[in-house]
Amino acid sequence: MFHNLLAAEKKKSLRIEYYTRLATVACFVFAGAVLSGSVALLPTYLQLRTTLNFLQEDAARYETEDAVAVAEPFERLGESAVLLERMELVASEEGVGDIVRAALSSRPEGIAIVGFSYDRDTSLITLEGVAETRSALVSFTRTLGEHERFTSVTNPIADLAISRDLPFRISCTLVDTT
Amino acid sequence: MQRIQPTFVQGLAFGGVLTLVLSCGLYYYVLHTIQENRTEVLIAQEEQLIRDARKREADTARTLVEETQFQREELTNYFVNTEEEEVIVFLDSLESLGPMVGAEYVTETVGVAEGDRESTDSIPVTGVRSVALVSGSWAQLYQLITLIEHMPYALTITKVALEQSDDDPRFWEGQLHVHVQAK
Repeated sequence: MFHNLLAAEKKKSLRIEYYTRLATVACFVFAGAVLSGSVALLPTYLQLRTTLNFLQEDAARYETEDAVAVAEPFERLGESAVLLERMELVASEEGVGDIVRAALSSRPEGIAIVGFSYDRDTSLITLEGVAETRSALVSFTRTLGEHERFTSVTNPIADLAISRDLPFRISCTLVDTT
Repeated sequence: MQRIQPTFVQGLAFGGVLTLVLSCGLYYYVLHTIQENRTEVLIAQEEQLIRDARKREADTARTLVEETQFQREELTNYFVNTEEEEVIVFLDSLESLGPMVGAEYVTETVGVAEGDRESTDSIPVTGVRSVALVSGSWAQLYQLITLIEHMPYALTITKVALEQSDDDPRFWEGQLHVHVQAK
């Protein structure tokens, strides 16, 4: 059996030094491991940088060279699409010939038209003419008013002052069906 | 007061801790940088996929452009240029319709109309606006209007004002406002 004859204070001091050295070694070992890990990550880092550089160069090349070439067919198709839309809009508009036919188809006997005007911007149609009788004019006005294509037909009451060959002027608005 | 001198062991311990802290810091920095780069690479790869898809779409669009070349040129022919030569061709074809139906069509004014009509997406459309004096019988003028509206142009008769002549009831005259859209 061995007896430690060192003083208690000395023993305590030696224990502290022992543990300090042990911790120091552990720190250095762990630090070495961490450093090795950092070095081991470097190939990954370098590979990522290379990939990133390649992709960035590709993006820059696309912006300077390919972007215009890529956009060009879309622009051409876009221009044609706009023209097609405008053409469809024009085609959907009702022709003046159809409007004239619609306005005059309901003309009863005894109504002579001497003037016709149409403004597409205001959709306003004006019919001027001579009615043989008051009833013919009233009938014409009523028929126009009942027509599905016309609205706001003016009532030519003032034109009814004369009993025969009444000159008249009727305005109406074309209903927008587009 | 006596200054306490660090022992060799204490200095070594301090060095060990410092080395550990620095190593951990370096490891964190490398790991963080890799993480950042990986995110950037992922974004760049996504962008590359989008660019590739866009290129493929452009190839398809290019094929479509080639396939529809004829139709698109035909469509373009429905619109006039505001250059003088094309306007003259358009006016000549308009005026040639009068004699075809026995009516008279005389162009009174011509001008470029900036955005007085609108397209479907409410973009003002530039066009050529012409005002013409027309005369003839009612049937002739009706035919003339119908022919004008069936011309192969994106045109609209915007205003009509016709009156029967006082001298000859068979004779009508008036104005036609024609608007043709420009390219």
